[in-house]
Amino acid sequence: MNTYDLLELIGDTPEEYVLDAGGLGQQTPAKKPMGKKLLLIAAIVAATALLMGSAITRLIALRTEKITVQMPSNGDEQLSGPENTTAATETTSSIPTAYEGERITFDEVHNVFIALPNYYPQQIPDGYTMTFVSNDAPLQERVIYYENAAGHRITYWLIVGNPGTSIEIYGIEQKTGVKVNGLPGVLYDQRGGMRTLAWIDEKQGYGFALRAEEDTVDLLAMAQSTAEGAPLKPTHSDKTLQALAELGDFSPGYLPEGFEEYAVAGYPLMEGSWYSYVRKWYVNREENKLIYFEYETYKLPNGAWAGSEAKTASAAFIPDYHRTNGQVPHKQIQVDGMLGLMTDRHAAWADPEKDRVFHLYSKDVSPEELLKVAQSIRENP
Amino acid sequence: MDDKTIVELYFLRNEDAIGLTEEKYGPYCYSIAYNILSNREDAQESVSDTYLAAWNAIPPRRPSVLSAFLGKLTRHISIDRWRQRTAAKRGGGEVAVALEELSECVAGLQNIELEYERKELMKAYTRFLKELPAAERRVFLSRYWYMESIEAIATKFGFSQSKVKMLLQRTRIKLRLRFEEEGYK
Repeated sequence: MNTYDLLELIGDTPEEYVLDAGGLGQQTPAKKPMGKKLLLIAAIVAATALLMGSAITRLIALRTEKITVQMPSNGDEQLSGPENTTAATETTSSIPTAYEGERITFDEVHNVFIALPNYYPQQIPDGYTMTFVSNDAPLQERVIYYENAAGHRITYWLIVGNPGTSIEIYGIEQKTGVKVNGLPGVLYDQRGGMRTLAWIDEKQGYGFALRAEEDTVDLLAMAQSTAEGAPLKPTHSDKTLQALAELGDFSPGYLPEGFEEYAVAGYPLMEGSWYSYVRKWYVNREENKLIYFEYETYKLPNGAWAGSEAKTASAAFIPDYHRTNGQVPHKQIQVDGMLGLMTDRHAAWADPEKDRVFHLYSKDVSPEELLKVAQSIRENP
Repeated sequence: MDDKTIVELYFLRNEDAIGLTEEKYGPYCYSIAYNILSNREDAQESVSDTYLAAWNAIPPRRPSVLSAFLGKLTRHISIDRWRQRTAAKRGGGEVAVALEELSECVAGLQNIELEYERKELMKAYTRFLKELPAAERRVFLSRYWYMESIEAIATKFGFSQSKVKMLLQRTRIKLRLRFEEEGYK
C-alpha cells in the first residue's frame, strides 16, 4: 500500500465522521454550473444514443494561464505557474530574473471520439514551403512546419481531444481577442516580431494555433485559409515502414468489440543508437475508447540481458509499478512464451533474445480484456 | 427537499433527481473538487461526473446520507482526475502536500495487497478514528478527506495554523503507531 492507497482508504471513512468534520467553507463555482452539462447528462440517462447531437454545443475550450519562468543566479531555469511556485532568488545581475508569459492549453469538454481531420492552411506566405508534417500519432495532434530560405519558420498545430498539448508564449507585448472565420481566438504579439495565434472550433472540437517568427507574415490570413485539404503524408512515414521491418509487424489477433486499428507510427534504429519503436492505436469510435500498443528495442543499463531480467525490463515500462517500487497490485503474465507483468491497465512483456519490450495500455477496457488482447499479439508474416 | 425524496426520484429514474441534487449539493461537491484540483473547470467537470456516477449507482445503492455519498464520489473522481492530469508531474496543490504528509503513515504497509488485509486495515483505521478526540478527528478528516488547506482548517475551527499543523502531526504519528500495534509493520 502506498500513500495513494492510504488516501483511498481515508476516503472510506464512515459517514458520520465525515459529516462531523464537514461544514466546508464552501467555494462558489465561478458561474452557475452545468446548464449544458445537465442537458448532456439528461441526454445520457434518457438513452439518446448519439452524443454528437444538438445537446452538445461545445467540444473544446481554449484556456490561457499566466506563467513565470524564474532564472536563479546559478543560471538554472525553473518554471512556475498556478500549480507550482518557486521562491524567487536574489541577484544583483542586470539580467532579468523572471520571464512572464502565458500558456495556452486546449481542453476537451466531451467524451466523444474525434478523428484528426485533414485541416491545414491552404494559403502559405510567399517564400515559405511545407518542410515537416508530424505523424498522425499520438492520435490527437498534428504539427506542420513551413520554412523559408532564410530559415524562418511558421509552425501550425491542429489539436483534437485532450492530448495535453500546451503552447507557451513569452515576451508578450499585446494580446488581442480575434475571430478566425467567426471562430473565437487570441493573437499574441511578442517581442522580436514573433506572433502566435490560437483559435478553436467549438462545434467540431478542433483547436488550432499558428506561430510565425517574421512579423511580415499575415498570420490572420493564413489562419483564415485553414480548411480541409488533401491528406498529407507524414514526413517520417517511411521511417514507420523501416521500423516495422526492423522490429517486426506485431498486431493483436483479438480486439474487444467495436475496436479497430486507427494509427501506426514508428522510428527505426538510427546509427549509433539503441532505440527504435513501433506504436499502434486501436480505437472504438462510438464509445471513444482507446487501446495503445507499443514495442521498442531496449537494453538494460548494464547492456546485458538475462531471462530473469525480463521481469525487470517489463516492470520499467509500467509507470505505476516503477513508481511504487512494485507495490501496485500486479501479476506475472506470459505472452507467446515471453514473461511479463500486468497491472489493471498496463501489460508489459520482454523478449530478451531480441532486445524488445512490448507494452499495452488501456483505461477503457477491463483487465481481463486487456490480458486477452495482449495474449493474442503475434508477429504478422 | 429531503434526501429521502431525492433518492426516491433516482429509483424512479426521474431526471429531476439530478437537478435537485445539483441544487442542494452542487456547491458542497464543488468545494471538495476544488480543494483537490485547484482549478475551476476541472472541479466543474468532476462535479458533473459525480452526478452521472450517482445516477449510475442509485439504484441499487440507497444512500442513507446523500451528502456523504456524493462527497465520497466527488472526492474519488477528483483525486483520480488529479492523478491523471498535471499535478503528479509538477507537484503542488493540497493533494501533493497531503500525500507527502501521509507518507510517514504508510511505512509499515507495503505488503498490504490482499483484499482481506485491506478490510482488516480499514477496521483498524475506523477503530483509530473512534478513539481520537473529536477535535483531532475533525482536523484530520478536514485535511485528508476534504483536502482543505491548513489555513482553511484553522479558520474553520478557530485554531492557529501552528496548532492545526501540530494536531495533524500528532494524529499522523498516532495513526502510524496504531498500524504498527495492529501488526502492520
